[in-house]
This record gives sequence, structure tokens and C-alpha cells, in this order.
Amino acid sequence: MKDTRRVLRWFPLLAVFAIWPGSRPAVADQPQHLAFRVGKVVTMDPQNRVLNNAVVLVRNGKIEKVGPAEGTSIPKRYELIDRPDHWLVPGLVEAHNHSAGSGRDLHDYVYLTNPGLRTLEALVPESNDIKRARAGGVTTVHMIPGSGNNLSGFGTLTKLAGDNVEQMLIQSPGSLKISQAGNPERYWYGVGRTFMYYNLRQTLQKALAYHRQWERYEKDPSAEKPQFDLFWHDFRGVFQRKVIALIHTQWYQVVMSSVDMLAKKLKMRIVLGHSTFEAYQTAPLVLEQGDIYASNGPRQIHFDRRQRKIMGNAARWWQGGVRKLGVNTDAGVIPQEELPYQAAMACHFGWKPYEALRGVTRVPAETLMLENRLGSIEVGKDADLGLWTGDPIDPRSACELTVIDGRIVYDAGQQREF
Amino acid sequence: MRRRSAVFIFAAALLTAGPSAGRAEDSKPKQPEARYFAVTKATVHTVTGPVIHGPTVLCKDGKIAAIGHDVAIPDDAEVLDAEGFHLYPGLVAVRSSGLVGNEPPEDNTNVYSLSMTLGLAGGVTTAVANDTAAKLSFGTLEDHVVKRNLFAAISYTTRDPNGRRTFRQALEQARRFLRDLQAHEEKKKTDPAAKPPDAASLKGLNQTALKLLRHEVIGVADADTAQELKDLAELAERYDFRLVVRGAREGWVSAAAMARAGLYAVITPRTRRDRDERSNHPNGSSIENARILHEHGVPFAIVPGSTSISTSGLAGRDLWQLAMEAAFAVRGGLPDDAAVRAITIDAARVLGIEHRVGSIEVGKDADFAIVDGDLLHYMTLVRWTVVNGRVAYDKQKDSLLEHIRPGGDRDAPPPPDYWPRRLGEG
Amino acid sequence: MRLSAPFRLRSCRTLMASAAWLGAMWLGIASPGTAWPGTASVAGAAEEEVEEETFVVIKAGRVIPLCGPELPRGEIVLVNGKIRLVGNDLDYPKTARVIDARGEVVMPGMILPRTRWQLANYSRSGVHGDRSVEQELYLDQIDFEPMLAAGFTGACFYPAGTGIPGVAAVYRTAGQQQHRELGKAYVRITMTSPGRDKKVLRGAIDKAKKEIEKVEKARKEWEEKQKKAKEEEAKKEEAKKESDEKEKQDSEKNTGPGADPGAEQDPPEKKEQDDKNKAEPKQPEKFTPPKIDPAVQPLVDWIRDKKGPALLFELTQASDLVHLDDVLKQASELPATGFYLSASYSSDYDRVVEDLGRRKAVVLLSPRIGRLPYTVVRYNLPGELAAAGCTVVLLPLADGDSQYQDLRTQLADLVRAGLSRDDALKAVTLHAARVLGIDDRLGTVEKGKQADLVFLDGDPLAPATEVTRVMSVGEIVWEASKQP
Repeated sequence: MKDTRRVLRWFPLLAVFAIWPGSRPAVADQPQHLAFRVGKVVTMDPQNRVLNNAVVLVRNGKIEKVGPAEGTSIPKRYELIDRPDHWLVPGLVEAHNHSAGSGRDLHDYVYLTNPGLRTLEALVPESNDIKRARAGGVTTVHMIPGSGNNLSGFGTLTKLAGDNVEQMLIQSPGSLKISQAGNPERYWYGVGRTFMYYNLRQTLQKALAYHRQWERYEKDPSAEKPQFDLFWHDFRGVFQRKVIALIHTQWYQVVMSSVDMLAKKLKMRIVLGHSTFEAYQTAPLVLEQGDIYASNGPRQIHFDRRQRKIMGNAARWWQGGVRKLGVNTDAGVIPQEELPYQAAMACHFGWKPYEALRGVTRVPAETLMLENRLGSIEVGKDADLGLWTGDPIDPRSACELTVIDGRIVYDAGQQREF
Repeated sequence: MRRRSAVFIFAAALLTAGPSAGRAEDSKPKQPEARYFAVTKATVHTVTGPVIHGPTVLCKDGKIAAIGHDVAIPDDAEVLDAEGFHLYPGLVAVRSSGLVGNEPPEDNTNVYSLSMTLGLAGGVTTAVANDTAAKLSFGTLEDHVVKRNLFAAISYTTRDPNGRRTFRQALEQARRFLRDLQAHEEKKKTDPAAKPPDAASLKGLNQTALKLLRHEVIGVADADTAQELKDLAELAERYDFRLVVRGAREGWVSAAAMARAGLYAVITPRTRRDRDERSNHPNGSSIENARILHEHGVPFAIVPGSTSISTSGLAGRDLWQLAMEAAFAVRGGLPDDAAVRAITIDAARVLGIEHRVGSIEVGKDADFAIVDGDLLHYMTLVRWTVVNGRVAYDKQKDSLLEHIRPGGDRDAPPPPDYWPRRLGEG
Repeated sequence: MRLSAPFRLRSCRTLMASAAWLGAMWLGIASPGTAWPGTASVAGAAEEEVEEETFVVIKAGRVIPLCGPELPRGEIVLVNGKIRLVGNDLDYPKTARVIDARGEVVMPGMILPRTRWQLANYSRSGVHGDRSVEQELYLDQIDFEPMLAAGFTGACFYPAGTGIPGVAAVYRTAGQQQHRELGKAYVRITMTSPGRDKKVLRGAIDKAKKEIEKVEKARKEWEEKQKKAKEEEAKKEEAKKESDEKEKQDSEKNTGPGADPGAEQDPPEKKEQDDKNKAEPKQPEKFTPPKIDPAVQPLVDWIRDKKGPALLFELTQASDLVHLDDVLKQASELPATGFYLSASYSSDYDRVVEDLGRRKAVVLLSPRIGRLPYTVVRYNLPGELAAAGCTVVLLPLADGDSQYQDLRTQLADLVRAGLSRDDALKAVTLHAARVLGIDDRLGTVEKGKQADLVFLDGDPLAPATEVTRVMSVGEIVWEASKQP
């Protein structure tokens, strides 16, 4: 344990040689295998199992075993982390982040639609923001460009540990970012919704045409090979539904258009990236579409001035039947480390704690199509874990240890950051 | 527990003209104006004393008259059955804007404002606007103001070396004058004709400095860095005056000096300032700030990052969720009860109004936050807020939050919505 | 207050006819259904015989008297511009001029209780209880046509500004010069911005109390002086008596045998002194109080004498009422029962409706159905106030032709939303007259009141109805048919 702590905070030099799944050699004083014996494991697996007094074994960056403390022997060479009063929960997943970069590349106001752009190049490993996020138990974020224009490029799925982008990266492009109404209306005088819809549709139709060309060629190699175009090529994943489209969309009318244009007509796999204000009123439409995820935030409440009521947005989506529901921080609007606090506020205003915790772990993992690797404590999945003094969404609970890919990347025992 | 509450009853009978005492002296004409209010069966968190399960808290004319299990409730009392709820002292917001009016609040407060209602929905009963502490007395101006001229603002920073020197000189001068005055008093005992200290020196004196040294006013200064805090602590210690520092971001570095000087602090546990790694001194914000100050014995009040209340949607970052800001201090190791104190009695101490508000004690103002769980838990909602012995907020009678967990039901259906209607639709 | 009817030259025949009719009247009164129910006896009529009387009879399709049930085919008998009788099948002298209004509805003239129509944009702040809007108003410079066209026979102009900017005054919108002025109405006191207005009102109350104290002190001093003077007088008298006695004794002694004959006479100086005493000017019998600052006179009247001119407090939101009460704690004699509620579409007066009802307040406001704050719930504030027990007075949303015209339509809206028809109509007539202190003369079609009436071509609350004629003190002063 002491060894762990020593390594933990200032590991940049060591991390060059750090374990990376499969490929890299193990560092001498970074234990290869971890064993957690804790009071409670919230697995967030499909059965929603919560194990009291359980053991979780971590080996080579993956979860090796999950079982009751009694009857699960801890093999030798495993560093035992014995916290009988702590909770072990999956590393938290943020579906809407702008703070993993320098902050200066949030918006590129080049055109109203900028298909070629990616946030990958903007990532800043080991920034203060990233370190703090880890102290809040956050292990994976979806870093996307801002909402200053209508289509601002492609986002990046990244873990919050690694000295360079290659080490951090999960997937790029990780998403297409589209912003409907609101902020992009400020792009230039006279840019209104009709024009944005027209412009967006036109851009997407062009991208779709490009994709179709390639599809034809792939089906029939005798056809003429289309010319590769970096400007449009990333869209192929979107139309193949391998890459999600995260939509900055908030008001009910705008959400309706997102559902209709993007999900229904263009068959994209969309995420409602804010889904705030009175957007919860579109719950029936969202449900009907079936494949839409709602990532609610940063606003957790809506003041309904038609009936003088404070609505908890997440609670209202939930009550409307939407289960593909998580919360986000829109970091740095809300600091990334306060992701679980967003869940707490969703609960304060009417949601339910377990669902809310699921809404910052498994659901965002599904939202980002990473559920095979992240979001739950199941054998074979990435060992992204948070060891908490209690219920993670209670602001009184602190994250004691954060583990990413089997490595302890934050230890409050050395210095508590949050 | 029983025994302790018996003590309370005894104290009540001694200290106040409670109903039992009133009945004993029936011969005296009964005060016709007495306004009784009682909360029964709540779990009472007295803050300065024990937690009492299910006593009657009897209030008379806006003050707590008696606490105990055997307190008789007068027939004309308004009774609030709070079985299953927790009664805390009303929360004290040492900084606020918009909850009560600008100076003077009794002339400017909108006693029906949405901000005041939301503050009450957050359990806040006393708030400071500018330099006055006032109650969130919904619908009335009775007993609105608690205390005026709370602080004398002090500027003592390295960014303004001139001002710093001037203030120090002012303190020095004031101290000399007070010493002369004292010496004169001594001398007068033996020599009635002794000359008093030069009145001319009094004329040029900095009145704030004089008042500080005479302990007539509490000083307040905004200071965040360890150095500023240390400097202020030294100053307060050297000249022996009461000082409140607001901010105190690096209080965890200077806690010992602050404690020695008897400083009070106003802190925001979630304050976020990255460490400057180039400095070889400890610096930056720390979630453990509150704990470290507490362990050193520095009393402090907690305020959230935003001291107004907004309905714009970002939840849990302003006075509405003051209790949550205190919960973040617990995350850094502060004990729960100290966190509650930081938004009740210790906040009252910072303002010098601890004799009026901040705890549940006989003789104090009847200001309660009656909540449906642990005050510091994120699911807890305020059910009633009582100010000066009047129900100022009732969750189930106010449309704002009545639909959220009515009767504790986590699966309550949503309120019916108004879908946007087109022309011609009903 | 009585307005003397204009004297008119009339033929002897008319006079006789009217005398004969008076006889008939006596009989008519006895038969039920002829006279206005509940009218006082016309016993005084005999005394008025000497005054010449001009009779006018209005034969209306319907009369809405607002002090009793509506009368289909009602008749109104006017004498010298005053209402003498209201009923059906009334008797009246044959010589009476008949106004045929059988196709019209006749109701009391509407009264606009708060306007600055066409007044200069002049306002003052501070305490000016002695100022009146009369000082800034020139009747002949105001075009009353829009008011008349909308059926207003009276209008109350108010002094603009904040604090206690002065006294409002009521005028007839038309008619002969000598009838135009209806007197002062109310003292306007604002509590629209408590932070500013409380200080002003507190100051005014303090000043008023000081003025009262000043007078009391002067009176006390005067009384003491009087007392002292009296005592001195009594003392002197005593002394004189004594000396007289002594003199008498002395003189008796002196007149005895061997007395000095020279002592018989008073010494000349003493006599002179006595004369001087008598000549000394006496204290004035009547106490002349020191002058009171006229700016606070209305407050002095209320605080000292528990009566005074009507006070109208202006508010902008519910909280202002609490602030007003906070000030009036120090002067409970000031009646906080008259209010003007300036309102936005979603003001929060719903918080104090009950309170206003409890104090039986007279409330001026716009006939607007708003909504509860932060909701789309319609809220009929005038209706709620009336139901709570307030006397509701309604006025147009703003000054101007179309706003005046719209008032009746808005009344109809309120009635649809729950305000009673009676309350709605009274809100622009009788209740307006009451708040302005002229309900003894105006506001209903009732015996003894002055004939300020409106003629309409249909029900006043029907949307298409228009004003056809306006009568002021028995004279038709406006006719729709004669408008260009």
C-alpha cells in the first residue's frame, strides 16, 4: 500500500514505463495485481447486483474476479486494499466534457459547420483539471468541441490517465458534435434556426452521399473507387452507427427537431447532450424513437413558469419513462470532479439515488457505446474503479482511491484533492 | 436523553414565563397579545446541546419558551405536528444578496419575493445583506432586523502597501491614545486635577481603529492567501481586536496563526484554486480547509460560491443548498456536527448574534428548519421553515416543490404539464 | 354640500302647473309602484315651492339605477338638474320637457377616479399635503371629448410625483362652468418604492406629530398664563378686599372721634395704581393656535381629530402593503383603507387580498385579468377583491381614447370571470363616487342626486353597445349623433 501511495501522485516519469493493457512492461513498484476487500461493491452490472463485504480482484488492468469476501481467497502477489467500510464503484464516466483540453480550443468559429475538426489534438494529458477529475472518481470523459457553431467537429473518448494522448485515448473520433439552436445562433447576425437546420441538413446530406458512395464501392469492388476526403470521411462511422452524435439541444422544440431530423430521418445514434429546460416534455417522442440517450446537464432544474414549479430535469425524464438517462457536468461549466454531485442534485429534485449513480457510470458508458469495456464492475472489463468512503453521490463521501486500467492514479491518503 | 430534556423543562420554567409558569400566577392579568406556537414530536437537533427525540418545542411571541416532553401547550397555540421530521435551528447565511432587501432591509425587503421563498425552502432564516443581518420573515416585517452595523471593513494587503502602513499607524495611534486615557484614569485617582490626554490627538484618530480596539465593532477583511491571512492574524493578535476573514482559501496553511489571534473565518469548502507548483510554499485551495481550521479551533461560517439564489438551472451552488456546501466540508474531514454548526451557531457567532439565533435553546428566536432527514444529506428537503415563531414556508402548501417526494414518496407521479398550445386549442 | 340650482325665468303658468302637480305627487306617493321604492318623503318640497322648478322627464328603455333593481321602461323625473323621481308610470307636469330615450339604456354617469389626461408632465416628490392638482389644471385646456364619448361624466385628476405629492380633485367632464368643480377628492400617498417612500411618510408623520405637540404646548402655555392671570387677579382682588377692609376699618377708626380728617381721602398714588391695574390689557379670551405647516395638515387632521380628508395609498406589489403598515404603526389614526394598486400582468397582490378584504378597503385598480406570478393560472384580481369584501373601483388601463372606450368591454370580461354585474357597474360609478367623496351627489340614479347620466344604445356590458348621449346636471352635454 505504501508503495502504491508513493508512486501515485507524481508518476509522470514512471508512467512512461507504465502498464498499459497488454502491450507495455510492468513498472517495478506499481503492483501488477490489486485486490479490494470492501464493505460494498456496486457492480452496475445488468443484474444491478450490489455485493456487501465483497472482494474484487484486478489483474493486468482488467477485472479478474468479483465475489463475496467470504469464500474468495486473495492470491499471493496481489496488493490487498482492505477497506471494510468503503464502497467500490465503477469509475465514473462523463458523457459531456470540455475541460480535458487546454480550454482555449473549445470553439473554432471557422464556419457554421466544421466537419473536419477533431478535439483529439486538443487533449492535454495530466492537466490540473484532469487530476482533479480523478480525485472525484471520474475515469473516462467524452471530450467534445463547444457549441459555438452548428457542427463543430468530432469529439474524443479518453481515459483520464496517461502521459500522452496515445496512452489516454479510447477512441477518436468518438462522436460527432452538433449544436442546435441557442449558442450557434450567436455565430453571426441573422443566423437563425431555419438557416441552421438548412445548413446542417445540407452538410449531413453531403456527408451521407459520400458515405453511400463508399458503401456502394465496398459492396461492389468493381465500382469506381471514391476519392478519399478527410473532410467527410469521419462521418462514415456516424452513418454506420459506430460513432454517436452528441447533440447540443435543450428546448422542447429543438429536441423535437433533433429527434426527427437526426435520429428518425438520418438514422444517427444521437445523444441529447443537455436535454434541459422543458425538454423533458418530449419524453414520449424520445421513447418512441427508442435508441436515444439523454445526458442531462449541466442544468439539473427547470423553473416551470407556467405552473410555478421547480422541476428536476432528470426526475422528469425518468417519470416520463426514459431509462437511457444519465447526467453530465458540461465541464468546466460544473467542475468535472463534481459529476456525482450533479447526480446528487438530480436526486434532491426528485430522482432516485441508485438510478442516479447508474446515470454516472453504466448509462454514460452505454451512451458512449463503451459498455463492453466500461461502466460496471464485471469480470473482463477495464479495471476503472473508485473507492469511496460511502455513497459516491453524497457530497460528504470522498473518493479515496481512483484506479484506471488497474493502476492507482489517485490516492487521497497521500494528498486529498477533492 | 429523557433526563436531559427534563433539565430543559426545568430551565424553561425558570427562565421564561412559559405556560406552566403562567398558570401558576393566574391572579396576574394574562397578557392578551401572547402568540403561542408549538412544534411537537420532531427530532430536535439543538446544535449546542443534545439531540432530543420528540419533545415539544413551545414558542411564545417568536421566542423559544420551553423544550421538553412534558411541556403543556396553551389552548390557543398553533401546533405543528412534526413527527418523523428533524428540527434544526434555521440556517444563517453570513453573506447573501436578494433574499432580504438592501440597507435598510426593513424598508427594502420584498417580504413576498421568490428569492426569499427559495431561501426559506433551503432552510435559511437569517441572511446578511450588506452590513445588516435580517430575518427571512415571509409576509411580515415584524422582528425583521436582527443586527445592524455588523462589521467594519478592513483592507490590509500587500497589494496596497500604503494603505497597509496607514492602517497600521492608525491602530498604533489609537492604541497610544487608549493607553494615555487609561493612564489618565489611574492618575486621576490620586490627582483629581490631572490633565486628560490631548483632545487634538483624538481628532485625527481613525474611528474604525478606535472602535476595533475598544471591541465595539468586529473587523472584516477579505483574504485568501496564506500570507495575507498570517499578516491579518498577526495584526489582530498584536492589537487585540476581533476579526473575521472572508475567503480564507489557504486557511489550512495559516490555521495555527489564525487560531492564536482568535480570528473567525467565512469559507467556501468547494473553492477551487490550483496549486502553483512553482511556489515552494504550500498553496492553493484544499477541500480539507474546513477540517484543518476546525482542528485548530478557528470558528468559521460556511457560505456557498454564489450567495444569491438563482432559478436558472445550475443546482446546488447557491444559498438554496447552503447545507450542501457544508456537506462538502465533511468530505474534507470535518465532523458532521461541526458542519451543521458552521451554518447555524458558528455562523451566528461570526455575526455576533449567537444570543439570538443559531441553536435551539430556551430564550432564543424561534427559527427552525424542519426537514425530512439528515440536514446534510442530498435527498433531504425542507418541509417547514419557521421564522420568529411563524411558519414562513410550508413545502406542501407552496407550489414550488410540493410535487417532489410528497409525503416522502420517491415514485410520486409528475405534475401534469402544459404542453405548448396552438391557437384554438383548449 | 349642496349646489344651488340655477335660477330660471319661468312663466306663471308653469309655476302653477308645477304646484298642481305637487298636489298630485302627494297622492302618487301613496300608491305603491309609482314612486321610487324607499324614497324619503317629499315633505321638504313644500318649502321649495318658492323656487322655480324646471321639469325634465326621461323616458328610458331601461334604467340601471345601481341602488335597486333595473327598471324596464323606467322613467326619471328631474327637477332643476336633480333627480326627483325614478320609477314607472310616474306623474309629472304636462309642461315637463320629455326626453325620449325609449330605445336607450340610462345609467349613472361613469366616473374616472384617477387620471392625468392632458395634464403637463409635471411631478413633485416630498410632502405637499397643501398642494392640489387644481393648481396645475386649466379645464378649458383639456379636451374631454374622449371621456364623454366613453360615458364619463366625472374625472378625478391627481397630482403626479412620489411621497405625498398633493390632493386630487374631481371635475365634471362637461356642462356649465359653475357645475364643473366637484371638489377635492383624496390625498395621494405613494408606497411604490418603500425604500424611498417610507422615509418620506415617516418624516411627514413625525412632522405632523410635532406640529400637534407645538399647538398643544402653546395651548398649555396659554392656559397656564390664563390661570396665572386669573390667580393674580384673584390675589389682587383679595388684596384689594383686604385693603378695602382695612381702609374701612381704618376709616371707621379714623372717622371716630379724633380722626385725621385728611386720611379720609385715598392717597393719590394708590388710586392711580389701581387704575393702572384695571387698564392693563387682558389676555385674549380666545386661544389662537400657532400656525401648522400646511404640508402635513391632512395628517394632523387624522392624528389629532381622528378625521380628515380621504387618503389614497398607492402600491406596486403585495409587499408594499406590509411596508405601509410598518410605517402606520406609528400613526394608527391614519386609515389604511384606500388603495390604488398599480399592477403588472402578473403582480402578486393575491398575497394580500384577504388582508385588504378584512379591512374593507376601497381599492382602485385596472380591470385586468392577470395571472398568478410564474404561472399561467388566470387570476381575476378585481373579482377576488370584491369577494373578499373590498369596495372595488375600476379605471382604464391607461389614459386615452381607446382605453376609455375599452373599459366597459373589460368590465364584461371581469363579469365573465366571476365579478358580479352589480359590482362591475358600481365599480365605475357609485364606488368611484364614494372614493372621491361625491357619492352623496352622484353615482346612482336616485332621488336627490344630481342628474349626471349616460345613455347607451344597449346593455353597458354588451360589446357592441355605444354611448348615445351624456347628461350633466340635467342637461344633455354630448350626443353621438351630433359628433362629426
